[in-house]
Amino acid sequence: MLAAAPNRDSALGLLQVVLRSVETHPAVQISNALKDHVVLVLQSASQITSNPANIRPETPAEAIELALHIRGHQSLTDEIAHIQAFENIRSDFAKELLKSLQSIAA
Amino acid sequence: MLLKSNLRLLLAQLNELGETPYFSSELDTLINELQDVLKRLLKKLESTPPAINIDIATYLATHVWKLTQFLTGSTTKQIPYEVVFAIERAASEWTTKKSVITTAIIQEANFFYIGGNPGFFELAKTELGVDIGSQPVQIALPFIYRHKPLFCIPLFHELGHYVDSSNDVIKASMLISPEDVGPDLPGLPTSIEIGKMAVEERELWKQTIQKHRQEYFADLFSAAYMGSAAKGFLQEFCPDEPISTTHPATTSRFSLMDDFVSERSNAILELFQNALTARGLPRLSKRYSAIAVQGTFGNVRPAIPQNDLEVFGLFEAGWQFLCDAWDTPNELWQNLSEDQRERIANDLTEKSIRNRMILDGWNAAIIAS
Repeated sequence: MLAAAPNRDSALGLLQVVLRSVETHPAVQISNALKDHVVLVLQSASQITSNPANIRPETPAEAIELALHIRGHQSLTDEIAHIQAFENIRSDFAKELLKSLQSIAA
Repeated sequence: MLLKSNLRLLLAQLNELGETPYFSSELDTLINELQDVLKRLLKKLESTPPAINIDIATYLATHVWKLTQFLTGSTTKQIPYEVVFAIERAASEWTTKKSVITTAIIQEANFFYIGGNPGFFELAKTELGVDIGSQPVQIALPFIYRHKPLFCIPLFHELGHYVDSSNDVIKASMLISPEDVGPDLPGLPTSIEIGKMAVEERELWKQTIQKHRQEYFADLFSAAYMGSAAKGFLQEFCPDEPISTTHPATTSRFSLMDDFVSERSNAILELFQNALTARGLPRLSKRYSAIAVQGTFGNVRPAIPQNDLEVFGLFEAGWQFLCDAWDTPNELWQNLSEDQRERIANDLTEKSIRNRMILDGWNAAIIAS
């Protein structure tokens, strides 16, 4: 096999791509619509990590998977709880979250 | 270099596929949308400097490649129309987006599904302005079963995995009722035992419990449409598989399906019902109507299902008919060999579904005129 096989069920591939862009500061930025989506995912994940009763039909799939992943990782959940806008995502946090997601998907 | 080459090669393949006759106009639409994704992506990459983040472009290309793979098995010569019709009807009860079912015919004794990644659809919309209107679902089934609807019963188990995966039902259940809360699953450590474990060990059991819940959910989903035939087929296909990290023992699976079909209360089922409600989905319940085939199949005539519920019911009725005809054939069937009985029971089931498809098409044409 040429490359590691990703988890076919994972919805977190897109989040990982965006986190990499935060970490590497590429020349071409992602769109504002995508930034808004990522913030929504992080905020939703934070809400349902603190209280699973907050799971709603419209909760993005990525948020549920992310919540399941970060449950029990106190530093990550604390950091995510403070993200209100894309610009709040710090490079070192992106790196830490990416590292914790490494086993999940590509 | 390779990225742009891949995009052009994929575009050429999609252009070729676009000229292939498909049974469903939705497949043609999906091909057009994927072509649009590739053209817009190439245009952004060809500008100087590139007008799109390279990681994003690579992600999009990877997923178009996977979706192209979806389409290659769905030409008119290979697609098992009747089974796909039934699966599409069942899928439509669980998704707001139109599901486009494609098939992969494989040379192994296995069934599985691959669903499109939600991130791809989001990116196609936000970064390229292409709103893909359907949700592709690829199901794989053994080549020798492609015209054996009664042997395709496990595809409803696979559809259950798709419904779970696309709505994160089981992942939601793991948040609502984590591994240290229960309900306890057969053959695995109890929730109390897991609660006392070290973090690393607990994480391993969490993954196993999630996988077992996924399998139980898919079994119940299958039983909701196939009734006792869901268990009946499994009893023939893998009668006595032991527990593993990915699958419960078959005896445990049969026991849960029995509870469901007999409408006995079960904590595992209740957990799934709660997760389904949280995700805004219907509860698991019997979703088929019994259809009598003894008279029609007994006289080697197909049945005429009156609605989708009876189409689903055909699988249980057909399976039971085949089992009976195999063991104790009556009247006309006494003169048939085993392989003839199997072939004709499957043919009759396939033709009965086709009857419904023709009636549906006829009714749709009348309404449209």
